[in-house]
Amino acid sequence: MKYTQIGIDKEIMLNTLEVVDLSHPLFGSISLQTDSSKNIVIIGPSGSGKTLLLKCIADLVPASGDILFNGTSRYHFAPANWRKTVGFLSAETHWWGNTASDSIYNIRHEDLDTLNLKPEILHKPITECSTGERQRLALLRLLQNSPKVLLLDEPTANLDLINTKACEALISHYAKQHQAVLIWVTHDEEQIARLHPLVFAMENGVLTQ
Amino acid sequence: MTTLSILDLVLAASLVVALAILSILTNMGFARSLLIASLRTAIQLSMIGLVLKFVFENADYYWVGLITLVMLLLAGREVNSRQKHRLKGYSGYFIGLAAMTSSSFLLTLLTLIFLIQNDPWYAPQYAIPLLGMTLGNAMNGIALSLDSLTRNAVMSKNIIETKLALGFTAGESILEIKREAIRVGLIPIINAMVAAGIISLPGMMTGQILAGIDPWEAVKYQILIMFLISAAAGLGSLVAVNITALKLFDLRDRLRLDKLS
Repeated sequence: MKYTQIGIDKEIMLNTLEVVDLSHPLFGSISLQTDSSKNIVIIGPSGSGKTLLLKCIADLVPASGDILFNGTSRYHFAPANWRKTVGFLSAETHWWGNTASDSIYNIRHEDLDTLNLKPEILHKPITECSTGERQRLALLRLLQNSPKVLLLDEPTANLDLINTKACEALISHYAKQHQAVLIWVTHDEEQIARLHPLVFAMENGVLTQ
Repeated sequence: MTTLSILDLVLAASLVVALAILSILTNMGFARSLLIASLRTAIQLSMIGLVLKFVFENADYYWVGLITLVMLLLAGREVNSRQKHRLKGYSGYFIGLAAMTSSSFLLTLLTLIFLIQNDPWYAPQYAIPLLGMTLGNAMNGIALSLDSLTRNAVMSKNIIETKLALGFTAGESILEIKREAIRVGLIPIINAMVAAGIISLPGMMTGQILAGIDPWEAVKYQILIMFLISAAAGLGSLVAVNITALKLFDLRDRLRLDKLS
């Protein structure tokens, strides 16, 4: 792990993520280095491979090259542990069981509250929840694992401004608390302005800053 | 036992032909497959009749062994060919074969040696029909299970990937689909056992009774067969479903539906 001096005597552990020569038939060799003091946003036209890149970083899709968390290769993690550490949130949410409570069992009510969700929603048939409700629930579902890296694929695409900001607040609070590395994919210009990120653009399988 | 003449069979065949004509008249489109299947049944059974006649007269272990081998290989092929989505390459075939061998073949072997205890234990008159019945039913069960497994894996791709993304292992993420697959594979035999004697008279027992055997003896054999078949179908499905489910993922627990054709 990397230690960085912040301020005079406050020492904070930064988590780091390195992507080294990651290649897939649909995108070229991509390298990227970031840590929990930064915020990365990837923009680009749809179909440019942004989602695929996130899935490759989560090791859900085979890609050559390596990814390291705090200097340790993904291959030194059991696959399931890697994905618990490097959490991927898909743009479309998918559910099993009848209600959200079938897959959400370990969340704090304050977090529901932050996202303007009532506790009863956990027991409402998932098919009756709106897309926006499901998207917020999926975020909470992912955070249950306490991931150290968050790969967020348009996490607020279906939300109104109030709930978008609520999600941003929850995510940045979580990131501070857990020193989580954040990588966002978003099309929302105002959101990008709010996040103060390093912006990368993905086009034709090439990632540029 | 009253024997059947060729004319009897021709008359029975005319029923099938009549049904085929009805299909053509009503434009239901099953005449062709019905006629092909009927023709196959007549040819295949006549051939096996000749083979059995030969083997019964030459009851050597190598003839019995050869027939067993051919039956196993064909069953393995049949299991694979019944899948909508099958594994690319030969692995689907080998999985079917492995499942069939570890269930039907093994259990029939044990039944012959320890329960029926003929001399010799491989007496073809027992060994081949017994293997045929377990193999046929296990094949059915295994084919149904595998079809359910791969079909649901394709259909629930997004759910499996969501589970993987949430840190489930490959095994955990496909557990529900495996359970359902084995349940589906066991439906026919469980239905058969439930209905046996009340709604339907099982084929083997009926055959023995037609041949003039004491019904009580026929019933005992039928019960034995039912248990053997359900054990073989269940065990075979378990083996086939577990190996195939494993094959749907790679070493990094990634769902690899590209391995299916």
